[in-house]
Order: sequence, then structure tokens, then C-alpha cells
Amino acid sequence: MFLVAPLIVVIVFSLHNIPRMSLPFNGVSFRWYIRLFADTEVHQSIMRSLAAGIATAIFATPLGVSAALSVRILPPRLRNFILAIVLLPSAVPGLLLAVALAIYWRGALGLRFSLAVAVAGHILLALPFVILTMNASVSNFRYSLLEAARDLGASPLQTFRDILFPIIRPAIEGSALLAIAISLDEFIVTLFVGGRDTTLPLLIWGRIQRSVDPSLNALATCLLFATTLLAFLAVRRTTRKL
Amino acid sequence: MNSKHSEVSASYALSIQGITKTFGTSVAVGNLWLDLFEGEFFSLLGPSGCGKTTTLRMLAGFEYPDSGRILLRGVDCTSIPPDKRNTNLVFQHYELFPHMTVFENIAYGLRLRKIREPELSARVREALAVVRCEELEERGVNQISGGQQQRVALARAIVNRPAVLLLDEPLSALDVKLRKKMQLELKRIQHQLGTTFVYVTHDQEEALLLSDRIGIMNHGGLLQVATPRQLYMNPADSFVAEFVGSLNIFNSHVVDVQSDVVTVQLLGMLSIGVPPLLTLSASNLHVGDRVRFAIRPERVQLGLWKNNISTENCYDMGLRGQVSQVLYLGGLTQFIVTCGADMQVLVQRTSDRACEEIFEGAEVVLTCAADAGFVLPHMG
Repeated sequence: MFLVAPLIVVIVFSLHNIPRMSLPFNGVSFRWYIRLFADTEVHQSIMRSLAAGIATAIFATPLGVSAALSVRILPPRLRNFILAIVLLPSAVPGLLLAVALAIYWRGALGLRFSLAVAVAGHILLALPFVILTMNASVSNFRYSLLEAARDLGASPLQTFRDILFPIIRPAIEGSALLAIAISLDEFIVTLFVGGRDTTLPLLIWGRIQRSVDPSLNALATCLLFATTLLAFLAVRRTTRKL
Repeated sequence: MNSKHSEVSASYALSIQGITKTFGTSVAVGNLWLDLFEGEFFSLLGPSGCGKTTTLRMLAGFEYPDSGRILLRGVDCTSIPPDKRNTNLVFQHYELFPHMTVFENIAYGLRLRKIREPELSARVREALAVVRCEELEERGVNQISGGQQQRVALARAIVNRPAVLLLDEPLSALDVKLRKKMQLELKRIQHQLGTTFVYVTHDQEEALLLSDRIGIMNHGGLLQVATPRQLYMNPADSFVAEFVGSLNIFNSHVVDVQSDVVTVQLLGMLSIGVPPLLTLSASNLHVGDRVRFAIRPERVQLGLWKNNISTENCYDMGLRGQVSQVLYLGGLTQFIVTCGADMQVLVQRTSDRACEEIFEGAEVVLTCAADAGFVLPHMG
């Protein structure tokens, strides 16, 4: 309760009908939400965030899925070792990762900072989570099902299309949603390497610096519900029985 | 010569010609030769790790032999992948596709072969009828029992009308009662279809019950290929003799050799004449050779000492002993009889009235017919 209290404050005041963030509560209105929808800066950052999220999912999901599938055939000790290495990026502090990426992209590759660079960072951050959720879902996948399909006359491609993909599809969708959620939330890496392309979290942060704008409450509430919904869908998909 | 050879092999459903498969340094299957007749129920029987499953996987196309050839109805298919091969495998754990209904599971192979409606449905229903599961058509594969899954797995394989149906211990996941029932079903289905079955099992009773012929495997090689009766009565060597059925084995030595009968002596006093064995012919044996005398538990006759059984044509084992254990198995009763200091004989007979009078501790006499036992080479 204590931990979610700030969230409740944000949600409650996003519905406040006057620009004041203290009690007593004057009345309910959607004016901050309406103002939000009229704000082109908000529109742009939402589009950027969505684009970054989808791009992250498009790259991280196939990479993570194939990694999770291919480590299954390794002997258990080697598999656990590789999974431990894969997990390393999530153990590195975000700040360190951001600085390292900034140095690498600008210094070593000479690239200009942009949303694309930020997406590369998001992929790096999302990949361990994709691999882990996929790994948990495919750990009880029966590879002999694929042999059964081959035996019945399916080519390797048909086996993938008819058997492997349909069976692991919920898990793939779940990991994609997870990748989108991670990208939507991401702040530090985007701040460092995103250049002038502000995403939603950066926009909120920027506005907080200037003034306490009640429409931020509305924006934060939207973001909260969007990521919670994504995470919820992701968990429901990935925990479904194969 | 060469053409004549392939002509001969064309008449076999399956011809395995000297296949060898090694994994690293261990030889899983070594130079295996085997010809299977069209419509035969053939079992590969052996302990775990004997190479029977590897052999089956080579027949299915999941492994390729290092050397040798596999001919399917006379056509070399040694390096043809499983999807291009006219064989189907029934897996040990069925491997039904969990995201498809029973109907779709069975139809999958037909769809890949571009078989369209109405033939598709007709053939799926025909296969379901063969395994007697017509009512399961629209069920999900996780909504049916283990025995039904087994039947559906069988239907999914036979619907493709393979030249040879391969079965990898398909009944091992079922409980005993269901297994017995499915054994009879398998035999019925095989008769009905006339398809050549290659059945891998480590269960010797199952192999004896089902098979037209059995191949006994050990250490990657075939030790004997014979009918169940031959295998049981005339085992080629001591591994086969001990693996198939129970066996009493006694150290003994040869006291007399004739062309058709070898006489061995037990416990330094008892002489028994036995017909020579396939691999141990009379000409290889000499008086004084150490051998082992073997006899099946049901071939030993047991009677209470007082009303001693001694019929004509019986080589009187005349072995006196004491019943140390009575094992009641329902239709059968087994007795463990201790003779002398450390010799134990397992005797089996049908449970009848006379059986009930033989208690633990009873003084009994063991006899056997002249051809009831066989000799095995001495160990070590």
C-alpha cells in the first residue's frame, strides 16, 4: 500500500478538475486528458515510443527466441553457463550501460545519436528478458514432436510452420509484448544516446523540470496503464501451458 | 551376381545389409544384417542400450548408418530423410501434436501428401475405425486417456499406409492391464492391415506374445533371429537363453557324447541326457568338458517325496530337495527348491489341487523329461 501510494496520488490528481495537486479534492474532470490529446509534442513522443518499442520487439524477439531454442539442445551445464552470460547485461547498472553505449556509438562507430541508437540499447536490455521468458516456456517443449512431424512427411520448413511455431507462438507473443514494455519504460539509455528524439518518458521528465503540469499526471497514468497491460498480457501468454 | 542379389532383396519388405552406427567411440550398432518378410510382425528384443532403438531410428531416417545399406521393398533408402521415406514410427511417448485435434493429428500426414477431401476424411475415419476410436475425432489430444492417445498415435501412423510400420516400445507408458489389452489390439490390427511391423521392446513376454519372429540384440549385434518358440526352446547361446524366460542353470560336466544326445552329470552324481544345442553341437563336446546344464522352470517336474513321480521315458533327475519358498502367482505357482548345500531350483507349475499340498519345508523330488533341458558352454 505504501509503495503504490504515489501511483494512486498520480491517478487521482490526473482526474482533478483544477490545476492544483493538493487536497481538498475539488471535482472530477478529464480536462488534462483532453489537453494531452491536443498536444502535438505528446503525440510525437508517443509515436516515437511506440516505434522504438515495436522495433525493439521486432529485433529482440527473433534473436531471443532462436537463442532460447538453440540452447535447449546443449548439455545442461553448458546451457546454464550460456544463460548466465546472456543475463549479464541486465545485471550491469543502466547508467554504465548507457555511458558505454554512448562511447561506443559516437566514439567507435562515429554515429550520430538518434532514436535508432536508443533502440539498439533497448534491444540489448530486452534480450535477456526475452531469452529468459522463452527459455522457461520452451523448457518443456518436446523436440520429438518435430521428429514426429518429419516422420509424417513434413520438410524442416513445414515442421517449423505447422508444429514448432504454433506451439511456441503464445510464448513468442508474450516475449514481444515484454520487449515493447521494456522499451516503453526505458529512460537512461534513451537520454544518453537518443539525441533529440524524445520518447514519452523523456518528455515527461523534461516537463517536470520546467513546471508541475497536471497534464503530466494524465500522461503518467496512461503510461502506467499501458505498460501494466502489456506486462499482464505478456505474463498470461508466456505462462500458458505448451 | 549383383543383379541376382538385388532381385532377391526386392522380395523383402525390408532388408538391412550390414549397417553400423557409432557414437563417438562406442558402437551402437555393429554390422547388422536382417531381412524382413512382407506382412511380418518382427520384434527387436534386447536390454536397454543394446542398439535396438538406434536401429529403429536408422530405419525411420532419424539417424544415418556409418556404413551398410537399408533397402525398403528393394529400394535403397539408406540416406533418404524421414519425410521422404515410406515408413512411419509410433513413438514411445506418442508425440501427438498438442495444438491439433485427434482428427487433425491423423490428417496431418495426408495433408502433407496433398490428399484432399473427401478422401482425406474417409481415410482418417478408416484409421480411427481400425484402432476403434471413432468417437474421439473432435477431441483435443490432452482430453483423452493414455490408452486412447496410444491408439490415436497408431492411427496417425497407419493412415499413411507405410511399407513398414516402426514401433518404439509403444506400450511401455501404459499400466499393466491396459498394456495386456493393447498387445492383443496390436496383434489384431497387424493381422487386419497386413503391414510389416518392426517392434522394439525390452519386454520379452510382449515380444513372445506378439511376434512372428524375434531378433535378440545385445551390444549392437543380433544374436539370434527366430520364431518365439524356437527362441525359447532352442536358444542360440547363453545370453538368449537367459534373456528369454527364466532359466535354472547348473554347473556340470559331460560324461558321454552320442550323435544325438549328450549326457551331463550334475552334482557329481546325477546323469541327464540332453539334445545338443544349435551353437553347441555334439561334435564340439568331449567327455570331461565343463558345461552348464540349463532347464526352464516349467520343465522341471516336482512331486512330494512319498508319492514320487517316476514315469517312463523320464530321465529321473532323482534330485531330492526341500521347498524353501512357495510363490503363488494365481494361475501359476512357483517353488524354490533347495537341493544339496547351495543349489536352488526354480520350479513352475499350474496351480492345481496337488499344488496346494506342497508347503514350504516339504521334502520333494525333482524330475525332468529327457529333452527338457539343454547345455550351455561353460562360463569364463
